[in-house]
Amino acid sequence: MEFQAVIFAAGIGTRFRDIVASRPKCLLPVGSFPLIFYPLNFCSKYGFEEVIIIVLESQKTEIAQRVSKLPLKMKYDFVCLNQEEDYGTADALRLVADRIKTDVLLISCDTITDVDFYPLLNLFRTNDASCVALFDSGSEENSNNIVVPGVKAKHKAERDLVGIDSKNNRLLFLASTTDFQDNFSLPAHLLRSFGEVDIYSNLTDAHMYLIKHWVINYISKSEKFSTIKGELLPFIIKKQLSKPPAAVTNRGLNISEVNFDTNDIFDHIERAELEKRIQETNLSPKSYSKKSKNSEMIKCFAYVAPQNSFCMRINTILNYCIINKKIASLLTDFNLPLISKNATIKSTQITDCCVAENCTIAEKTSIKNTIFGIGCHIEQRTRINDSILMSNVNVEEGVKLENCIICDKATIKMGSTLKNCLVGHNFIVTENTIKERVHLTGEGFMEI
Amino acid sequence: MEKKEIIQAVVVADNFSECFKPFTTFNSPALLPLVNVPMISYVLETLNRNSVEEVWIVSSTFPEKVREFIKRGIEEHLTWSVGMNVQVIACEVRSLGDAMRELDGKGMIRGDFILMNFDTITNAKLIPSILKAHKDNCKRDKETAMTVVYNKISSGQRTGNEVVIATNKRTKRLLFHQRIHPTNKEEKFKFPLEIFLDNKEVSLHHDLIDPQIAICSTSALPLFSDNFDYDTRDQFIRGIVMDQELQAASIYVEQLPIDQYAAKVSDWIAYHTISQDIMNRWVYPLVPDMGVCALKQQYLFLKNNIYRNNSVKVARNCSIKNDVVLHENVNIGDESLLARCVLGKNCIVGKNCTIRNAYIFDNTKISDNCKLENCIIGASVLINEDCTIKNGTVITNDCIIMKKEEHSGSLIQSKIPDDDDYLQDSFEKLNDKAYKYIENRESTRNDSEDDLDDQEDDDNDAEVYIKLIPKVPNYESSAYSSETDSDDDENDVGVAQEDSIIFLTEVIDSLKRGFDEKSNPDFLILEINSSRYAYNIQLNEVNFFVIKACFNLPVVLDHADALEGFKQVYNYLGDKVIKNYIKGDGAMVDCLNAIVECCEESEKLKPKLMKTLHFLYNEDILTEDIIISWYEDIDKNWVKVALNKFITWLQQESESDSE
Repeated sequence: MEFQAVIFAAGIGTRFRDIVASRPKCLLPVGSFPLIFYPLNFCSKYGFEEVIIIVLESQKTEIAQRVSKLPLKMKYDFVCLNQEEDYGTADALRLVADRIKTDVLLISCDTITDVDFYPLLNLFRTNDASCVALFDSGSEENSNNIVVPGVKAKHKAERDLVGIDSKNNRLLFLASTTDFQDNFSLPAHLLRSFGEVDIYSNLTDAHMYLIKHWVINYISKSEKFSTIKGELLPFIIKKQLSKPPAAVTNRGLNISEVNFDTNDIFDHIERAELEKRIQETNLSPKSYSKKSKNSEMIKCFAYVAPQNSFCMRINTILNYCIINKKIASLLTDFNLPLISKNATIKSTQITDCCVAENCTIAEKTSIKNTIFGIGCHIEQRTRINDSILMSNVNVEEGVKLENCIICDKATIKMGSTLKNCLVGHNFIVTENTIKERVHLTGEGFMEI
Repeated sequence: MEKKEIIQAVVVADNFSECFKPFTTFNSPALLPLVNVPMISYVLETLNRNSVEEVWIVSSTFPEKVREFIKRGIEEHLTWSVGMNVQVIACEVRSLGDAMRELDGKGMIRGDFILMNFDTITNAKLIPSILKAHKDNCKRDKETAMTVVYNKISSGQRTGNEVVIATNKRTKRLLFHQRIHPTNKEEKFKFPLEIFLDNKEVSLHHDLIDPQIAICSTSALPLFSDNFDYDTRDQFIRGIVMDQELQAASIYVEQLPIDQYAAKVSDWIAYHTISQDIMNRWVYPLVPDMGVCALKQQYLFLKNNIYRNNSVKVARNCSIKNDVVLHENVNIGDESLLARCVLGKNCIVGKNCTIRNAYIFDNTKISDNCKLENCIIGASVLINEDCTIKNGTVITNDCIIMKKEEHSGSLIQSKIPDDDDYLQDSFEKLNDKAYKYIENRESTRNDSEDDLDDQEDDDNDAEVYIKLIPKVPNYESSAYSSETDSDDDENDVGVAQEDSIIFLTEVIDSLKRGFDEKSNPDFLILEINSSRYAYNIQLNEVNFFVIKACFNLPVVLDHADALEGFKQVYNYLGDKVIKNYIKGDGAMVDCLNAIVECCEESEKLKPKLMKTLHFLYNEDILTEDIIISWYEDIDKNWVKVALNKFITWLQQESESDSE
């Protein structure tokens, strides 16, 4: 086994609490499946037979139950995090470190992609990389012309600056634009060693990483990292160009004097005996020069998803809307059914929709580009366009919905017309309500 | 019928620096021989090979010599003259910006043109690929002013021509430009964050040098005219890149393919490396045996990169190692050793000489048992027996070096330049035909040596390295005066002409308004510069009038204590405006003269003369050397009396400093 896969499913969706509410984020319906289905499907497609899923203890049963019903043949190993403590992704990884025996693929449960895994893998294998991260360049184009239901505030994207060596995809720099005020400063030695560095401000980290086993060992020993993207990755990237401390080379001589408390990253690098020999006997002038000698030890690479592929993190309402508009074509590509077998659909005018189990859609309805979660009930003479209905939503007669998100167990009473609205959990929209661009929640009408 | 577009080029035949002094005191830098050919020939040759049809050469130092060279070249049908019309424009300019403004005024440029300097040595194929790239840029972006051409280098090289730039990865639009200081090692590079927010993909380059090649649109010339403060190419580029909104112009970047060569002969070190590159055929076809300039074949190309004219006489038992160019009638005596050197026409080398990394111009005679390493020897020099000349010594034309002399890192001229009277002392007379320049340069010397050591560590070619004197022997009265000398021989700054009176009132107005409104001092400089051009005021007069204006501001005049008033003005204008003008020794003298004149005009200020000078001395505007030497020259009695104490104190200071 060359790789193990770890899926982070303990996130609580801080960026879009309104629609996640109490349910586990990874069970948010996307198309006719929960969110977590997509990374699992990705693993399954590329031959993983076993996946470690990190979940919150309180959500484990619910997630396990839902995951077991998915049409995938994999073994799931659930690891629980204590609800009380605040775990970052690196903290969570530290907890499962003892289960990881090989290099590892890390995916966040909210990453949906149809990127071809092999170029990524090749980058990792051919370069003996310490880490390969997947980046996506297309998210901004997607977000144009999309009206986010219920929210009036302009969506402000968090942008990162990603520095990549233009010649060989080496990942050299990673920081958020908010880390800088007016000037962006780059260590001069980085430019000196690489000559040409491309800085991208349009890339988003897709939270899919291939990581060497020794890195896991390193974080299991080092308490100073809490998150992968925010702390671990920038640290490793930075360490690429620094020299290993002298103690490493002298260890054999003065073992008693070496202070083992200093948990240095270079102590953890696992290198095969053969590689060391190759390095030592290499006569190429490059290996003698100061620069390359150290940079050979830690190497991070970036793989930018090609333009024609799809790659997105579902962590905001905006992205949630985008993915649901695209999911129909994506599911077709994956050869997955759009409409569940045990849904009851009497409607004749239903196009580009995803319908989950146990839904009933009455006759004389017109439905387009809409997602139905489990157990939705749609009555006659309704018209629904471009909307997302989560589980157990009741839509009564004569309702018109356009570009709305209706959360779990909400009820839309007769004759209502909603446009660009977000309806909260358990909310009951009274008869003949006509609203546009509002957020309807249990606390009554609340405008944002 | 559509008229075919003629490809035009502009060559600036001056480098506006003093790096090739003192050769440039009697000839144009463009005619300095590089591998036995006047340097400008390489550019002309390159342009001709790029099928340029019309070339304008802008020359300000010794333009008649450049014109003569071009005229002769055309008569003799030198290779570059075929199918290419070359014109020399003689005009007094002190910067590239001036040259461009001059061209704009003449209105001879009709379309896109290639802009190069005489000191760019390249075999670049600009046409069609780069010209086409420029035209595409223009088509896409109507505001394209320039496409600059950079050349890739291996990292780590530091000649002062390297740049750090940021470009848009897709469009190659230049977003940031910074020249790398040849001696500093930067910790960090800072870029404005905006460029990353406005451009999704930005390429940062640290592997490029600027060989000073550009393709300009017609809109480039008016931009120079509209902005008097654009003097150098860098100022132009930075001005446009940094305030893109202000200028509505843009610059794009093209890189030469890796197989093409381009470099700038920016100083003697570059002169050495580029000469070697030419001999090592990196600049093919611009190599000695291909006849740059001449139509006949001048050299045989032998193994180990030895280029030998047929008429050369080499004694049987001398050894000619590698990378050597021997021109007509060179004669080399027994047991001599030559490696990596260039000898001009009719050079005679005696017996048992060693010549390494040396460049010897025409008609020079080197007698027996001499050792020449890492040096430049001008034309018609006579070096007598048993001399050792090394470590970047530069000997100019017509010198005579006596027997058994040893020179290391010195600058020797055949006569003292007569334009700098007060610098007579900086020359040590060796004989009637050799004066050695002495400089108080301990500090700069050490710096540059440290740096050289660093470089030697970096490349293993330490032996090749020529150690040369610091680039700017600072014996010029002010950075600009060489071009303006002819106009102000008597230093007649006190004679106020009508224009200068208007100019003075303009400057006072500008400064007053600036001071009252606390506006940006940069704009004041702009205003002053534009009035300067409007009234055709020489630079040293500008210095003079700016200082005078400072003392004539109402704040100073109305203040009970004139010096206190001036201090207020200085607090606001000092750093930007005054320091901008008063830099260099000549400018300090201008400043001193201005203060004295102000004192004569105002009884209030007169008693404060000493304190004023002391204040400016403390603010590092004036240096003690200049004050003392100026004091010695001045013939006004009251000044002598007023400053007596101050000067004594200064002299004591400097003595105690030197101890």
